[in-house]
Amino acid sequence: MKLKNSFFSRGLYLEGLKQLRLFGILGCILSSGLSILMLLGHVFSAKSAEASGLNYSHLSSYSGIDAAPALLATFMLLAPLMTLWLFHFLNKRNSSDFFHAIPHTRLCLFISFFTAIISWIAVTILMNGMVCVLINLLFSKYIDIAISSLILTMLYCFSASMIVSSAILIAVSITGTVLSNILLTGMILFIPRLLIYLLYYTPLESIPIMYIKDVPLLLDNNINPVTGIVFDAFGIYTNNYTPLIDRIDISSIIYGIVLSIIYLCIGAFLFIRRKSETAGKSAPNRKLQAVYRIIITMTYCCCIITPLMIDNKINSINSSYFEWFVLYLVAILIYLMYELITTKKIKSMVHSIPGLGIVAVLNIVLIFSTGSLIQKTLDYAPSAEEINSFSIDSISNRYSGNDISLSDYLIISNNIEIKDSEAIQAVSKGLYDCTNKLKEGTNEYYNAITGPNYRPYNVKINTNDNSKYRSIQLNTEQANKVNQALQEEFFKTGLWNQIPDINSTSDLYVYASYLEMPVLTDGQKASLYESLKKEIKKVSIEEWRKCYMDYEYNAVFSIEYYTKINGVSYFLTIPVYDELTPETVQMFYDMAYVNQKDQIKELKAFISNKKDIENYSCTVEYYTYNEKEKSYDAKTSNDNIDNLIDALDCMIDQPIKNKDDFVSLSFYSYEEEFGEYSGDTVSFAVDKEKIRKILENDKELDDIDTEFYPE
Amino acid sequence: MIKTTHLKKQFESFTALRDVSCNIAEGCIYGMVGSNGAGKSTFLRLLTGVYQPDAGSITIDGQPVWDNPDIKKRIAYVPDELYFLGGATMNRMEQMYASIYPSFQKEYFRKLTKRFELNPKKALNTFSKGMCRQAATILALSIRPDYIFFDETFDGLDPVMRNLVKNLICEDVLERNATAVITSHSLRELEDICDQLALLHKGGLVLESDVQNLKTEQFKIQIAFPYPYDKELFKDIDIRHFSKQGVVSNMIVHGDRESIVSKLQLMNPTILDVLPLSLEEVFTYEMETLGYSFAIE
Repeated sequence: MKLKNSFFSRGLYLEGLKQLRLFGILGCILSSGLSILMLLGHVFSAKSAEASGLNYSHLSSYSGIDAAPALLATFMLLAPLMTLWLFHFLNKRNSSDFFHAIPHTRLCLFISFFTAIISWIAVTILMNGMVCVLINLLFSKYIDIAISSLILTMLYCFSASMIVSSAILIAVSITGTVLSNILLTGMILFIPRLLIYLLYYTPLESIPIMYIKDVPLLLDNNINPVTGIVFDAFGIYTNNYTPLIDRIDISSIIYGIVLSIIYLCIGAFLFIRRKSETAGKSAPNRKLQAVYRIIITMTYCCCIITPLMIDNKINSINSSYFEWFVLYLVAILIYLMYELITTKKIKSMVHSIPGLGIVAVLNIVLIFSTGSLIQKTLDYAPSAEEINSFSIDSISNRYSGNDISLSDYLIISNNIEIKDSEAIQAVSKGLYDCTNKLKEGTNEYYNAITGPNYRPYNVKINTNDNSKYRSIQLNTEQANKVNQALQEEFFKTGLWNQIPDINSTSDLYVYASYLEMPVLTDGQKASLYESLKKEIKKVSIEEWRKCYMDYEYNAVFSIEYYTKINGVSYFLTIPVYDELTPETVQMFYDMAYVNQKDQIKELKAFISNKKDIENYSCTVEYYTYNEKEKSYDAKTSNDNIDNLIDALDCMIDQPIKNKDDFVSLSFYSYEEEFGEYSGDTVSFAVDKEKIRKILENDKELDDIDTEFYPE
Repeated sequence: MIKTTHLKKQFESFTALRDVSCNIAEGCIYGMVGSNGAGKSTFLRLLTGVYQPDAGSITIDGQPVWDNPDIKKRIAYVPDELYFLGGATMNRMEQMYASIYPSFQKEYFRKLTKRFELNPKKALNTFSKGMCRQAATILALSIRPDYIFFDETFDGLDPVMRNLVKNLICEDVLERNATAVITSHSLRELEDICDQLALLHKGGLVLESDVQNLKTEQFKIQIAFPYPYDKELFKDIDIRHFSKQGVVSNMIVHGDRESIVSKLQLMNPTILDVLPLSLEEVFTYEMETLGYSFAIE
């Protein structure tokens, strides 16, 4: 009997569910309702468009958060409201006394009520998810929800809700008013990450030669679901263009659960020891009140000191004494105001003044340590003799979402170590020049070291003592030495005739250089990728070099996708050349032929009677293969339906052949009923002689630039 | 049985209770009286396990109360500041109590609700203060507790309801051998129901005694003699208070009534009247003896 009561009570749990039912029911209705409205809205709109004859794909793809955006509200609104509501009995003497008198242990009350909160959160999330899955099943023609993404999003939001709720439970256990509940919750949730950002990331990010590399997992803000989303929304910490909610990792879900369990244990410990007489007070005793006060004040101090120190040390901006005075005056005001607002007593505020001494000491420590960290970073410049080797970690200056070529990808991803003495000398000199210039100030640094004569490299420098990452600028001569060493080493490794393995072909993008891009299925993309992977192994170094390093030829199409190397995100583009991998190129043409067959048929039928067509827009592009240049020449005519019909007459019913002529055309006519143009674009094989005759006769055609593949 | 030993409770620098030791027997109705801030509510909160003592101990049937669900389920507590869920009706509170207290009896709850003529479907925040007290009392008694603690409960009730509650308490005590502890700052309210009375003053227990003993062992005597006399004449008698106006003296005497009256009669007084004392007067004179001087309502 005693054991049964110790941890969980069904009665208390049901009572907790009842007390929260208004929040729970509203949460379920609103979150599921939003998804239903959004998704069915698209279904109805697609059905209307179909009914009116608009023949394009009405299938709309949704990620987890796209389909169920209200899931974010579970941890931003529902979890905090529910937790504060159910545990607000701790803030008033009468209710606090009541719950401390009931025949259940404190731990039992804590766990039972918390379980009730989490039950409602889980129901809300599950219901929202099930609604999305059901709509996905019923209207699969119009809705394509990535179920794995949906599940991840649901787990993510659940994990975030657990963190928020358990943080609030710590706060309510050691405070006794709603205001102090909320303030302390904010401190628990955000201040640790904010301090890491201010004291670790900001100095490092502000120093041009530093870049954040291989952040210890626990220091990576993205690992925390709550602060990850919130800081990402405010642009803090993030250097990724894709919102965090669209790149959820399972590790953050696990981290969230573990963190919430830790918070729960702390909360339970404090709850059990909580005195009922704390109700109505901002803190159970003066010491804790002082701690809260100092934390708030010090957070503000970190916000001002770090940028000031950086300005002074790096940017050569010397703040005046007056500036420091004003900023610290604000700190003192924050300190005193916190006391006044939470205790509502001027006497308490006055008694808190001696605590400013602690704030002063902490600030001295902060200023000293920030300054030391920055100075230590600037002083790191090992000589060439001290450097054993280096490798290229990434190719850009700390920005993610970078474009990367296949050659650079292979070089970086294989962490090729360079031991060439000349290259090492170049890197050592480059780093030395950078740190020296930086000591004069960032303006001097950017004026002297960066620009068109310099190239940025993020390198990993290995010495006997350690390995450090630096972002350095190398001049042309230095860069050439490094690149040469890289290439030599790269080709030695034999890794050049590879393309990376990928997890999912649904993440692939295929772009055609000349053709009107057909919609490829995931299976087709997978086949193309596999074919490329096999064919590229047979390619010689010289041919590979011509294509992927010297860009001598134009690609027929490219395969692109997001990937990560060494923790940095890139957008990898793999061009596919008919010179290098003709089988893959032909496979692509075959797929285009199959996929566009119906479209071509419809288009032909549609424009067979040109008298009916009054309001239209059309473009014809003629691609003829130039054997000498090994690329396509292209010409175009606009809004001439006769050319379009002539081009259709030249069509031959077979896939385009590698290095053969073809035509791409688009035709759109105005639909008055819908107030918009509808039509299609297609590419097809043509009779070579016929098409060249057209080109000879028609002098009004314009040239098209066929340099599609950028260097 | 409730036993407290050298009980102490402090709030920062303020000592609410100091060195309170008492025994409250089973089946007893124990009244505790004291002025505002004496420590009555603190004492009850310690008894119910809301507070943890800073020193000393509290046991009920030999077991500590603090964080002990097995003991707490036998306790019903009606505090001076009542608590109900926001917007709740009595029916809703019934559900809540039923889910928290295993011994809560719904039938008894409904019976009491009818007896008190309260509407269980009406929101409690529309009830008057007295009605809220009645509702809280009903909920507490419906737990069928072995120990009932009331903190200034009677003070908000009208005379009819007061009697009703007193009757219910007596019923529980008689039928189920329950123990009740009732605090009040009005002795008059406790006089006719309590078996034992205690007086709390500035955190200390200054007086504790059986009510019957208090009433019978102290009494007032009005006496006069045809000859001059003073207090010395009564040196063999335990006199708590002596005043003389003319030939008539008023004495507050402590001891066995019959023997003292016989003794006095032997002195051949011209006037000898024995007058009962109200509990209030008893307390006042007891306090004077102890050196306290204060007024109770």
